[in-house]
Amino acid sequence: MKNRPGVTIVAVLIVALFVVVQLFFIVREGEVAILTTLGKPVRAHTEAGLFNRKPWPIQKVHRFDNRLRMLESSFEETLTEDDKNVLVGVYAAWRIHDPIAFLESVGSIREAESNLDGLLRGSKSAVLGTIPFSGLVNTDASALQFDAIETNILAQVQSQALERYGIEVATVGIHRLGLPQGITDSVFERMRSERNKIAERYRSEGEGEAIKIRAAADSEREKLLSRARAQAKRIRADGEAAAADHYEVLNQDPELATFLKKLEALEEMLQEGSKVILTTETSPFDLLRGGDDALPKTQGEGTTP
Amino acid sequence: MSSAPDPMVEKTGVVHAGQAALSEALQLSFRLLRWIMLFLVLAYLFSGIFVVAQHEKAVVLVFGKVSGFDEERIKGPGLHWAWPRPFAEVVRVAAERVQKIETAAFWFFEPPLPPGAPDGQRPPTPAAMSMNPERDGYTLTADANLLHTRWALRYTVSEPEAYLFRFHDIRSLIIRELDHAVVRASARTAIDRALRTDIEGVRAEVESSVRQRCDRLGLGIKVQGIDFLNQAPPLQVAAAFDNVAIAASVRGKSILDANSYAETTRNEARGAASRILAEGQAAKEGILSSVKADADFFEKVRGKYARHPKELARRQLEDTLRRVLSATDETDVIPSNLKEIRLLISPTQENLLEASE
Repeated sequence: MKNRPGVTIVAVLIVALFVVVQLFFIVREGEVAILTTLGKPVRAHTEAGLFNRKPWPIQKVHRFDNRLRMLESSFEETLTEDDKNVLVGVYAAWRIHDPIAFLESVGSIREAESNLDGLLRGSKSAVLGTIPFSGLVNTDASALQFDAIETNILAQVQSQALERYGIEVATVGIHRLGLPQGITDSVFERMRSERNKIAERYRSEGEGEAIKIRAAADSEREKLLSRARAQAKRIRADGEAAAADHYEVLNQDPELATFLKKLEALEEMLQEGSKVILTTETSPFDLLRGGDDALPKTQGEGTTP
Repeated sequence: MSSAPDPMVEKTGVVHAGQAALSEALQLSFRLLRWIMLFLVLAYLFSGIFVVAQHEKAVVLVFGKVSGFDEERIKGPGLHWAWPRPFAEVVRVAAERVQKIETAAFWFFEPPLPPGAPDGQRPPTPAAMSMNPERDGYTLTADANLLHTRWALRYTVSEPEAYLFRFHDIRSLIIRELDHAVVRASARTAIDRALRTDIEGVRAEVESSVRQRCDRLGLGIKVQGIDFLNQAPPLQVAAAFDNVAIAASVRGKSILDANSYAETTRNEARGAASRILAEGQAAKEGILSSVKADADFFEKVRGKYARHPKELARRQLEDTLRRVLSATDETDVIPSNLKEIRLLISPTQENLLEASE
C-alpha cells in the first residue's frame, strides 16, 4: 500500500492532541489547581502555567477561582456593650490560601462562603459586644472605634478561616450601620424635636444678631457725628482765635467799635416783618416834635444821637 | 502470423488504466488537501493578530500565564500578535476609559409610580411610617440621626493585571469600599454638616478614605473622584427639616436687613459728619472774613470819626435807621412825653402757623 502522508499527519495530530490533553493541564491566572491521585491530593498549583499530570483516571485536576472574593454577612441586629441594639453589615474579602486544606475541608466556593459567613457573624457579635454605641457614632472622631472593631473581627476570622478552611481573609469592613425598625419611630420623634429647637434658635439668633448689628451701626453713627461736631467746634474755635488778631484793631477806639457793633446788631435784628415803636426823641423823628428843637443848632452846640 | 488479442491481457490493461486514473485523482486530492492544510495553518497563525484600541490595554495569557516581562506584560494600543487559542488568550480592559459606579445602599426605597402618574409625583411617605432597614437605606450620623445619601465613584484602571486577575468581582468590591467609607464618614459627621454646612468636606473625607482603602487592597484602579449625588433627611421628618431651612432663611434675611441698615446708617453718618465739618470750616472762614471786614471798616471809619465824631455817629445812626425802618413792616412814632403805652398785638397768619408747628 502506498504511503499517504496527509492521513498520517492528521492521525498523528489527533493522537498527539489526546495525549496532550491527558498529560498536561493549564492553570489560568487567578486560578488554583489541586492534583489528586486516586482521590488523594498530591500537589497544588497556585501559579499560572502549563503543568503535567498522569492521565485520567489516575490523576484528576480540581480547579478553583483564587481571586479575591467578597462576602457580605447579613445586616442583622447586634448588641453593643451598653446594650444598644444596632444593625451592622460586615463584608470580607477572601481567597484560597491553602488549596489542599480548602479542597479537603470545604471543597467548593459556596460551602466555603457558608462557613466563612458563620465565622464572620460570630466574630462581629463578639467584638461589637465590647464596644459602646458611642464607639460607632460620635462627633468626636477620636472616640470612634471602627478600626478596632474591624481589626478585631479580622484577627478572629483570619486565624480560624486559615486554620479550618485554608482561607486567607484579606480585609474586613463595616459597610452598613443602622437601627432596628422599631427604634426608628423614636429617632424620628427626637429628630423632629431637635429640628424645632434648632428652628427656634435660628429665629432668635437672627433677631438678636440683627439688633446687635443695628445697635453697633447706631453707636458708630453717634460716634462719627460726635467726633465731627467736636472737630467742627475746634475749627470754629480756630476761626475765633484767628479773628482775635483782627479784634486788636478795634481796641484802638473801643467806644467807636461798640457803637458800630450796636448799629450792626440793630440792622440784623430788625428784619422784614418787625414792628418798631420809636419816640419822637429818636432822630430823625425828633423833627416831628416841632419847635426850635427841630431846627439846626448854631455851630458848636452839637446834637445827641 | 496474426493472432486474436488475448482477452486476459486486454482486461489487465483496462484495470491498469483505471488504477492509474484513480491514483492520479487521489494524488490530486492529496495535493489539494495539502494546500488546504497549508492555508488553514496560515489562517490559524494569522488569527493571532489582534488590535488594542486607543482606550484599552491588553494582557496575553500563554498557557494561562501572563506572557512577557516587565512593561511587555501589558500591551498598549496598536497591532499585536499572540499564539491563537488554545495556546494563548487575549484579555482586554478599557483602562483609559473613566468608569462610574453608584451606590444606592443609603437611599430610601422609591416605590414604582402608579400607572399614568406624571413623573416625579410619587406618593408621599406618611410621617408616622417607620424605616424598614431591609428596604430603606440610610446612614447613622454622629448625632445619631438617620440620613439618606447617594454616591458615585469614578475610576480608571491603573494596573490592568491586578484589575483583571486579582479580584473575582471587582466592581462589587469597589462599591463595598465606597459604602465602607460613607458609613465611617457619616458616623463622625453631624447631620447638619452633611446636609448643609460642609457637604464638600464630607465628600472629601469619603474620597480620601476610599483612595486609601483601594490602594491598600491593590485593586489596580485610580480613583478619579467621588460624587456626593444627593443627601436628604428621612421623608418622615422632612417637614421638620424644611422648618429649619425656613428659619435659617429668616435668620439670614434678618441679618441681611440689619447689615443693610447698618451700611445705610454708616454712609449717612459719614455724610452728616462731612457736612458738620464743612459747616464748621465755613463758619470759621465766615468769622474770619466778617471780623476782617469789620476791622477794615473800623479802620476806614476811625480816621473820619477822630475828626468829626458826633456828626459821623449821627450819620451812621440815621443811615442805619433808614435801612432798618424801610425794611420793617410797621413803624410807629409816639410822643416822647407819653406816660403809658399799650400795644394790641394781632398776630399774623404766618406767625400763627409757625407757633402751631
